[in-house]
Amino acid sequence: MAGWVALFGAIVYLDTTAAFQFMLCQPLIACPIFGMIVGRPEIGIFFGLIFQLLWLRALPVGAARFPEGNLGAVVATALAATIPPGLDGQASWLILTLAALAGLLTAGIGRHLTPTVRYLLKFFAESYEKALLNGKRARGGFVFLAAIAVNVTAGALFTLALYFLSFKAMSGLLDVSSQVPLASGLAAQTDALWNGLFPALIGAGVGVVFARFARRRMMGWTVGGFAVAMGVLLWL
Amino acid sequence: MALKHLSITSALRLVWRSFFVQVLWNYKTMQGAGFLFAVFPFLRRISDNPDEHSQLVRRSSGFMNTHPALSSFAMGAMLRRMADEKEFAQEEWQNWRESLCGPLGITGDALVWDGLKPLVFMMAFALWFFVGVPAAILLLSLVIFLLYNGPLFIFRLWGARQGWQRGKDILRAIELPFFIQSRKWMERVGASLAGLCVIVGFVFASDFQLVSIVQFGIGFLILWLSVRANWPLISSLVITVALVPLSAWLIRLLISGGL
Repeated sequence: MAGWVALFGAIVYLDTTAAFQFMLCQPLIACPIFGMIVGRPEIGIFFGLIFQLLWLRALPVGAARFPEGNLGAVVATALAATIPPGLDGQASWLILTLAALAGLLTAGIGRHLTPTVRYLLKFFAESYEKALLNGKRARGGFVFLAAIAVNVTAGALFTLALYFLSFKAMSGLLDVSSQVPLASGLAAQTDALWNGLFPALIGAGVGVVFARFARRRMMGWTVGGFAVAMGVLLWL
Repeated sequence: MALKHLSITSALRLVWRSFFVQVLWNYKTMQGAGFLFAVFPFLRRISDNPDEHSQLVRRSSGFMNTHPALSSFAMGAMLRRMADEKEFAQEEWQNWRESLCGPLGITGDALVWDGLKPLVFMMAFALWFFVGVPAAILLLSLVIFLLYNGPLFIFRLWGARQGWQRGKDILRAIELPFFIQSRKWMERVGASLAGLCVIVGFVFASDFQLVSIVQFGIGFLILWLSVRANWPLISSLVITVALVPLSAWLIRLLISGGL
C-alpha cells in the first residue's frame, strides 16, 4: 500500500501544478484508479465523488496558497482502503468519516507544501539559467530533471507522511474502542449515525458549484439544468 | 535549419515543452526558467553564433508568469520576435514580456481554471452517478481526460501558431470574439450544470430518506454560505462533518418522540 500511496502522491502532486496539468490529479480520476489498483474500487469512487466538487473553488493561480485537496483525497482513499471491510464486505461509516477528516487535514496542511517547494526551486531555477547561459546544456538538463525529482519527492513524501500519521492516529483510536467494551459497543451503535457523511459531503460539493455558477442572472440556465436532470432521471 | 516559420512539428514540440513551464516555478522569476526550458531548443535555430545565442538565452530568461495553458501564446510570440529582431532594447523587451503576463494570465484563469475545468468535472460528477460502476473506472477516466485535455491541447497548439503569426501583437489574439463568446457560454453551461448536479447529487446521495435529505441540505447550505461569504473552506467542511452524527441523532430522537 505504501508504495502505491507514494506513487500516487508523486503523480498527483506533479500534475496539480508543476507539470502536465492533465487533471489526472483530480479526485474523480485519481481516487477511483487508486481504489481499483488496491482492490477497493468502491472506496475510490466514494472519495472521488465526495471530494471532487469541493476543491473546484480552490484555484492554483500564480503564487496563491491553496489546499492540497487532491493529495487529501488520495490519503483518505488509501486510509479507508487499508482498513479491511466488515463482515458484510462494507467499510464502516466511522472509518470512512475518519478517513475523510484525515483527507481534509492533509488538504489543510498541504497549503504550505507548494510554497515551501517553490522557495527551494529558486536555487534550481538560478542554476538552470546560469548553466544555459554558460553553454552547459547537459548541466542544465540535469538541473531540470533534479527539479522534477524535487517535485516528485515532495509529493510522495508528504502524502506518505500524512498517510502514516493518520493511519497511526486512526488505528490508535479504533484499537482503544475495540479494547474497551463500552467504547466498542458505542462505536457499533454510533456507526449508523455517520452514514450521513455521503449525502452531507455531496451536498457540500454541490453547494460549492451552485454558489459559484448559479447566479441570479443565470437562473434560467440553472432551472434548465434542473429540468434536464429530472427528465433524464425520469427517463431512466 | 534556421527558424523561418513555426511548422506544425515545431509547434507541437513547443506545446509539449510548455507542459513543463511550471517545473521550476519560484517566487523570484516565477515561470521564467520554465519559459527558457520551453524555447531553448529553438534558440539554436535562430542563431548558432555563440555570442548571439548567449544573448538569446539572456532574452529568454528572467521574470515571466502567465497561465500555463496560454503560455504557448507567449512562447510563440517571443520566438517570432527573437527570430525577426536582431537588435533589441533590453528594457523594452522586458516590459513587453511582463505586459503579456496579466492579460494572458487573467484570460487563462477565467477560461480554464474557472471555466473548462469546473465544467468538465461537473459533467464528470453527474456521469459518475449515472454510469459509475467499478467496471467503468478506466473508461470514465479516459472520457474525462479527453474531454478536458482534447480541447485544451488544440487551444495550446493554436496559441503557439497565433504567437508566431502575431509576434509583438499577440495580445490582439485574446481580443478575438471567440474568447468573449466562450466565456459567456461557459457561464451559461456552468449554471445549467450546477442545476443538474444539485438534482443528480440530491437524488443519488439522499435516496429520498429523511435523514439523508436533511444532511444533504446541511452540507449544501453550509458550503453555499461559505463560498458566498468567503469563509475558510476546510473549517466549513469540518463543521459539516461534525454535524452529520448530531443531525442524525436529533432527527431520530424527533421521530421516536424523544424530544
